Amino acid sequence: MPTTEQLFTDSLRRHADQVGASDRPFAQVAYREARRIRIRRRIIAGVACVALAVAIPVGLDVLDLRTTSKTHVGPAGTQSPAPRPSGRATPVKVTLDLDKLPRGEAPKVPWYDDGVIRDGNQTAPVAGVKDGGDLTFVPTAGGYVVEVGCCEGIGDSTSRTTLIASDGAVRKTLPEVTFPVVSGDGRLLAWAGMAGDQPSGTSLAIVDGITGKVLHRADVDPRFPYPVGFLGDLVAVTEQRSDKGTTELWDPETDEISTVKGALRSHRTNGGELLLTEVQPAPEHTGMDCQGVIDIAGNSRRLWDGCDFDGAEVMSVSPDGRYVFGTTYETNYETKRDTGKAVIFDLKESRTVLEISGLLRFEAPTWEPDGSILFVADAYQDLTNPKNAIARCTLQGECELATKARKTDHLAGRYLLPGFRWG
Amino acid sequence: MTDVAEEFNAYVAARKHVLVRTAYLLTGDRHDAEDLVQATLTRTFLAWHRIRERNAVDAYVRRTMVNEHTSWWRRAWRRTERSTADLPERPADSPIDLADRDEVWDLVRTLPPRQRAIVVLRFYEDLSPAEIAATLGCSVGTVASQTSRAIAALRARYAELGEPSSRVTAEEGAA
Repeated sequence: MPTTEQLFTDSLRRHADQVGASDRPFAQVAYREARRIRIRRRIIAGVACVALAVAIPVGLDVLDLRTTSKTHVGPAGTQSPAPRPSGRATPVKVTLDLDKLPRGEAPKVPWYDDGVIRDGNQTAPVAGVKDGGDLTFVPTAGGYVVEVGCCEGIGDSTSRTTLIASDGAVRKTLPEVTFPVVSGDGRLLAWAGMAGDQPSGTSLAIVDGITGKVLHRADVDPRFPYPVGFLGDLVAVTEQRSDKGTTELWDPETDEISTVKGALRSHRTNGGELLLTEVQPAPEHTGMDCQGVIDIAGNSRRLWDGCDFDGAEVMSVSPDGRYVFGTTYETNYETKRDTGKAVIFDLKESRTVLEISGLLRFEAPTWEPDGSILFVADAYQDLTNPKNAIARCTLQGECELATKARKTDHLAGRYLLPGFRWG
Repeated sequence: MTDVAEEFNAYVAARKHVLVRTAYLLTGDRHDAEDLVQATLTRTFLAWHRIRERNAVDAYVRRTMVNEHTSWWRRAWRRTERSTADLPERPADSPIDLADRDEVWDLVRTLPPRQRAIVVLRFYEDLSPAEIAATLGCSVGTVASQTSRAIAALRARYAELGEPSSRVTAEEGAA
């Protein structure tokens, strides 16, 4: 008569034995992915949405973020290929060298350095940050949402997400939910969590961004859609159980959910009307994974297609909806060297205005109130000599360091911008 | 290639099949298992130069894999398990044996991630409660209680089938 332990052991071994050999190139992909750490885990950080929220503490005169008046860059219409870049006006091209860039002002949006989130003269200490761990923060109307986790420390196998005030005081520790997205005015959060005791059920919640109090909750089907950003009063949710994923709009007022045409798995919004998402490839890009920008107010018209730019990933759209920040990377497996390039595309004039190269990675592009773009710059070309800084570029290609550049490959010594997940 | 790359390549080549099997038991899906192994190895490669003891790589990888899998839900990467479509082919066994296996396997597939990890580490990887506790970052007592719950759940499942004692004995308790 078998014991329960034997039943477990026998069953597990039988099922394990049925798993055949894998032909995936794990090592090669690990090289590539190790250099692009953010890709699979950055999806819920809502970088572009943060670009709205970060402007809250410094005023909204330039971006007018508290209203819904965004520059509507394209005419409403049916789905159609994204406008091709025009041949007008050659883009400005700059190559960055962190050792040679001049030093400029500190970031005008919240940024993280050495255990502290800084915003002008205000500082918010973040507890629990450890080397080897991970950290993500996004601003809210009265402070920040902060997730601190650890990937390798024994005893720190779980992460903790808190709402903290702008001075770092912890207001509330959040339950086990997806990392919150923040509304344009910073006063609302949205997240997904378990629905009651159902292990596969999902509930979506609208939450007070200051107190953490749940204002509205809706149980949805168990495909586990989760919010990626606010689109005005609506919340974009995406799910990725299927290979390509889908994106839907949730109206918290009515709990109606509608599908976004042309959008597959989405990554974030710009807080206004634009959705940054994976899209079905155009015929000339068949077989490629393409990311694009979709105008929700414009009948889901595709405004930009990264596959027109060497398969660029869409990292951010400016809060006014005019500029797209995309990045491309190339990997040389033999030399273990990667090169990255960023393109900034003007949706209104349909042309690339700036190309930036010389770095390994451009992370968490965040727009400052004056229209400059900040990004976390990683300059190491192998794993032994990493260098990290926050850099700033104007659309005219004038670039500088917003922090000093320093060598580091661990969280404790890194700079972060809102929405960037390190770990 | 550098020494680091050669070392890492050699490790992956030697261990990838074992890792995929363990990952399959954690995820219940072949495709998800390979994704989990990929994510685990990416983290491992990032930390490779910090893993001083090469003999400790397996423990590091195991810990990373379990943590990664547990965090998938929280990070919104959790995917609803596909019940049958992607299961590997089964060997030709008698219907009676197959029914027994499905009961245990069905239970394992419904366990929460950390409890499932404890079951896999205890009954498949044959780790001690102390080793499991170290892997999961919890106490030995938690490992014991979670194991007991899994065993109790299996007994309850058999009881629901009307055969509460014909297939299992009751002498074993916590791990």
